[in-house]
Amino acid sequence: MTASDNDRAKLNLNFDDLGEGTPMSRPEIEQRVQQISDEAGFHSRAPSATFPKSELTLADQPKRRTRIKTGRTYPFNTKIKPETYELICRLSDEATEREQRPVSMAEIIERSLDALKEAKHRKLPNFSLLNEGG
Amino acid sequence: MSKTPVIAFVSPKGGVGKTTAALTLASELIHQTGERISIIDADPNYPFKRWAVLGRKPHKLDIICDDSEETILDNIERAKQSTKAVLIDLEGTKNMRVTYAVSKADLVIIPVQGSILDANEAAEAIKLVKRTEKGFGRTIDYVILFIRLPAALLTRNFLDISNQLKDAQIQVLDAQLIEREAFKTMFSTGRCLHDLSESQVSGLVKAKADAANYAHAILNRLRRRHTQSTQAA
Repeated sequence: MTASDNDRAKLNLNFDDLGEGTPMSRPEIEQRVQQISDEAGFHSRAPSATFPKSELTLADQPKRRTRIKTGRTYPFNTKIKPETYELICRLSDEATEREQRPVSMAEIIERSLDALKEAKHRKLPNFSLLNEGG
Repeated sequence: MSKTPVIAFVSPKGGVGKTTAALTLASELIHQTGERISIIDADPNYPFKRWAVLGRKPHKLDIICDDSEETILDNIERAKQSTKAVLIDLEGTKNMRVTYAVSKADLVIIPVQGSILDANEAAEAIKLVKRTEKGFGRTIDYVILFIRLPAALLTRNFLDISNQLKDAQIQVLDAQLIEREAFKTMFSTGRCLHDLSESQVSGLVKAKADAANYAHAILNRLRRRHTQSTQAA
């Protein structure tokens, strides 16, 4: 026991009634707290309970273009040179304009691969034979 | 009819000593009354949760970790049912959970160090209390607590702030908490003030005397208000 304990009467926590003011419903408390907090700049941290509703009905919304299923579902992520990327974009845009339909970058890559395969199978003159034949 | 005092520690500024003031008061109340006390930890950093994790919390002290402004009213009500005093340690920002706590408080303690920055933030807290009083039609007592004052001498800043508060007729608690190692050691050891020993920290006797004066001043204030409200009725 400290000197200060001996100097004075012990503390006690017995209160008859501290007074709570007029009883209020929970929504009423929340409304008043909201108003007081807004006025005093003490802001809510709770996420907004209601998201603003769109005024557009389903009928108002423009009809969306039917999505074309391309069958391309496998992800492919790699780093390429900026100029290669620009080339793929340019070829895609040109093909889209020329063919009057969306030609994706994936399709440009596929066409490039096809062209590469074709070039490989095409018979090219074997210039080394010329040298051998003398 | 409320018999359980609810004491909220409020300041929109962080680091002014709300948590230290709350734990010091809880320590003293448990030591002197032997009653069960609760602290509602309404700071998202949960300083009391971290303190309690050290495993030396007295069994008479309940720590209630509050989640948000949506849970604080229920936590206050539950704590009032199960303990003899409810202390609420709030975050040092201007958020709506503070208004909820103030709306249920019998006494709001606003800690201020000897700095004009703290005093400015204290003014914001006082405005909130006054608005809440008006909005809820009930008297909510509030008082400034000077905390972490240097032991050696009173600084000119402190005297300036003290005089300004006096001029503005803002009440200051007639007990102060001096900057003492013992108050910090409560947090590093996970103990209450009266569970510390002289071997753990120096100046413990003075810290205990400060804590006793502080707790007496708080309860005297509550009791005065209790008497006034009884007379008014």
